[in-house]
Amino acid sequence: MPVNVASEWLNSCSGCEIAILNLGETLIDLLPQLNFVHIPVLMDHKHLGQLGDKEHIELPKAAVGLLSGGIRNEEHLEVALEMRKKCDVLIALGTCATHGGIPAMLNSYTNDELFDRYYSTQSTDPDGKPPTQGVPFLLDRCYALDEKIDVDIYLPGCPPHPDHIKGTILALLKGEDIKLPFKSVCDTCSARREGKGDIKEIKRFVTTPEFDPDKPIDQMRCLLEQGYLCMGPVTRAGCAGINGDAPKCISARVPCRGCYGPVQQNGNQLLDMLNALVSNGIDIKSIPDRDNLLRFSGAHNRLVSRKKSKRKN
Amino acid sequence: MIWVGEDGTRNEEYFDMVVLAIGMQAPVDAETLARHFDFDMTQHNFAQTGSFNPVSTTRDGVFVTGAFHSPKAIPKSVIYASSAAADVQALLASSKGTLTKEKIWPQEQDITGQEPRVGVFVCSCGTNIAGVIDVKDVTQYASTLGGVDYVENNLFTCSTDTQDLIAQKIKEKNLNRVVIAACTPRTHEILFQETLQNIGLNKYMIEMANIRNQNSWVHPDEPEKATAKAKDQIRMAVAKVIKNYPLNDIQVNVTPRALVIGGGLAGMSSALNLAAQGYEIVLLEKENRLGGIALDLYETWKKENVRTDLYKMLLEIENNDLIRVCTNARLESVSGSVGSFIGRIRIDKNRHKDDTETIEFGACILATGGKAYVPDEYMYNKDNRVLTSLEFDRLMIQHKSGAVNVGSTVFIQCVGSRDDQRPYCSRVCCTSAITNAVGLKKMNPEMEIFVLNRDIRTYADRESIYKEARDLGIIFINYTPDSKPEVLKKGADILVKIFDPISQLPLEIKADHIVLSTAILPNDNSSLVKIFKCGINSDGFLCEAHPKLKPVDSTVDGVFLAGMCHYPKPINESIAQGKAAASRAGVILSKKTMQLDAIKSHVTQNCDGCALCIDVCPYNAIVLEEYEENGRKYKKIKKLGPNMFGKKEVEECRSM
Repeated sequence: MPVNVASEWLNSCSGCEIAILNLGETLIDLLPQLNFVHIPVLMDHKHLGQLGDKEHIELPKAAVGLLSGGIRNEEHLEVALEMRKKCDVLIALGTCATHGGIPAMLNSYTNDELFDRYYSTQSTDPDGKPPTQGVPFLLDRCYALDEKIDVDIYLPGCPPHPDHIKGTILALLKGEDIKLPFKSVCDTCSARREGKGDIKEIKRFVTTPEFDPDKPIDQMRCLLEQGYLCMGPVTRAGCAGINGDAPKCISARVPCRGCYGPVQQNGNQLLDMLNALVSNGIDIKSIPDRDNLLRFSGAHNRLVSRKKSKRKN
Repeated sequence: MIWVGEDGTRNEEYFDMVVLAIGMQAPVDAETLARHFDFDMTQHNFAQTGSFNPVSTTRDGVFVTGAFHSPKAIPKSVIYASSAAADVQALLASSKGTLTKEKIWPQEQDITGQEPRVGVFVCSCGTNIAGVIDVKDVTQYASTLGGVDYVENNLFTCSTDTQDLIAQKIKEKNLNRVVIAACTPRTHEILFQETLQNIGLNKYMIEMANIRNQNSWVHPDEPEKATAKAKDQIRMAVAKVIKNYPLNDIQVNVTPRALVIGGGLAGMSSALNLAAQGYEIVLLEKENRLGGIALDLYETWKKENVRTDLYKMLLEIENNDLIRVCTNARLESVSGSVGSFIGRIRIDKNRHKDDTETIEFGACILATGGKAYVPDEYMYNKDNRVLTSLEFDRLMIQHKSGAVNVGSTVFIQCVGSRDDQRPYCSRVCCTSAITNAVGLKKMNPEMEIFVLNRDIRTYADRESIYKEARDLGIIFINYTPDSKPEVLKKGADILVKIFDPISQLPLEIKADHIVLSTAILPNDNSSLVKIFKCGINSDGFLCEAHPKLKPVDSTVDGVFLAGMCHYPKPINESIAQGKAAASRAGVILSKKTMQLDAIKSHVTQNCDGCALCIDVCPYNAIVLEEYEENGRKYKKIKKLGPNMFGKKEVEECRSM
């Protein structure tokens, strides 16, 4: 008997859903065992009944729910609550769902600041006003799923690597323990490391790191040891997949941006990174925009509007 | 207040408060004390000492320190105290250890298998804690925690009678774990550990909750929240102590040998004192001869000839069997820790063939000294009548008449000092320039002598030489960073142009010699900083462990500082610190074994090999290693053994 699966997307970009499709041939093997009862990326199945005749969102029951995106407006919240109600096991899929993701960067600003910027700054047409009808009201900020509903499995990543989506679904089907990476990106990185040495300042990524393009990653000196802000040590591993040779960005000779969120679910990438730098004698004032270290994990009140926090005081 | 400015203008201004920075004078009974002990005093009633024996009075075996010696602040008082201790350690070397008794602890009780029974002692610290935190409430709360069998609030938990009380309660209630909610473990944990040891409980069965420094002191305005935080802190400490189990301290054998790096006055003083205490010394000097900067110095302000005393020291070192001198030598790497270091030194034997050697030592004294700033201002290097103060001293040593038989000499102070690049005062130059000026004026009263300065810093008893200089008619002219003097050539003459703030007139001085009092720079200490992971400041001088109370200890256990590598110092202060460092090192070397903390870090399975900790480790005790799992390569941290050198090398150097 195939297992009923429901998928939904909230404040997200559909990259996580594409990652599911990216399972490729594995998906074809898996499909006979899965019965998608609700999956907007593939099927037209409306929230308020196919004729739009219902008053409240209604989703079918499912054994497994895949929920991507954070919660930013009242509709997201309603869908999230309904998914939680109808799914036995709920998976937070992707970093937006687990930590707010890129959209949570806006948590550094209040809604008023957002609307002001969007509708009434120099570059906008005059008399622009936020719409009051036809779109759901915004919540005060962007929430990770677990700030509003219980989450059973966290599958971070922007997007999560298909290897881990597959591994999680297979383990669920077989009733086995789910094995996900629990160390940092460095664990899966083969770059040559010797210690942080004499770096005193962080370089901006406007110059090219030193490496020989003809040689593999393990011949390249660690980018952090070259003075670039690589978020590897404070970011959950996973982007390299199960057999990948190096983390995604590193294999492109680019420092890790931190897209899998903190190593531990309740970790703080900003604090951990600054800690790592300071203990190595690196001047953290050389990082022009520190909030950016939370660019993928700004939910959970990690990023707050300066105006708001001032008001509180 | 009404006062007259330098330019003669009368100023009048109103103030709400006047603070008098009063001077320091010798106590009235200082003279009586000196008479009883029969040693000489200076005209200002401070003890009379020599630059080369800075803490010795004129009577053998009687030493002085602190402000009795001369006006001093805390750090120098501490340095001079250690220096006096060093002289005493040397004098009493033969009777060392004859009166010491070893403390014997009672047999430790076995608590394995026992249910945790925690006693919580909440300290009021007078009002320090109780003034903010509701200690009664906190104490009551502690009694509700699982595993806690006894709670009590004390006025001062660290007092002697409370120690007795804790011991009594441990016995009475059969407690096997203790939580002290008080201040910082950094200062007080040892005390409480001893209380446990005294009644046979393993000293690691204690945890401290720092509800003072990390709570009441920082949250004085929020008593309710502070009380809630104190409860959290105690709950955490109780949870932790329940998981504690007895540990045994690790012991290492102390190597009774010191390594002294730098063969200047400070380093040589350290070596000689340690030798007098009976220890072996390896003295490394990077140049081909000992002596350092002192080789170029002429006279101290007390009119002592530097060379006479320097050669005496060099001879003593040469004839001392305990001191092994390695010239053209450097330290390359070190492993181990306090009491038991192993280092590799490189000796350049004949400028062509290098030789490395491994040595063991228990303590190390860094005395790498300083050097003179090389000016590019004031026509230096463009006219050979412009000299640095070291060059002028050399002239006084080698060709005195050339320095004395001239018409005018101009000293320019603060050359390269107290500016944006080197914001510090080089401390010795005022005294040195004025000493030379006085010497010249006495030998040739006709000579016109000018000292161009930003202000004169002949501190403490050196003030007398400044007074003498003015009495002799040496002219002092002030300048500011915005009105620096100018040196220019006019025909065959060199002229110094300066604006005189008193006469308010620009002056032109024809000079036969211009002496630049150049800044003192530290030698390059970067390799030692890398080797020992010791602290260095932004000017490149090595940092002491505590600016007031530990002015001789470096930031690394077992490594001490002496002389100008620490900051610019005159001869007497360098020698005093050299001896002080020897005294501090002697504290370690006199022990047979060192107790090391039993709490050791270990590498968990969570290590992801990010390598952030490698350069942070102060002991060079970890490396990154590769391992394979499921056909994939990973990296993780590996702990090294006690030292990074091979067994053979260690045996070799032990047989040395």
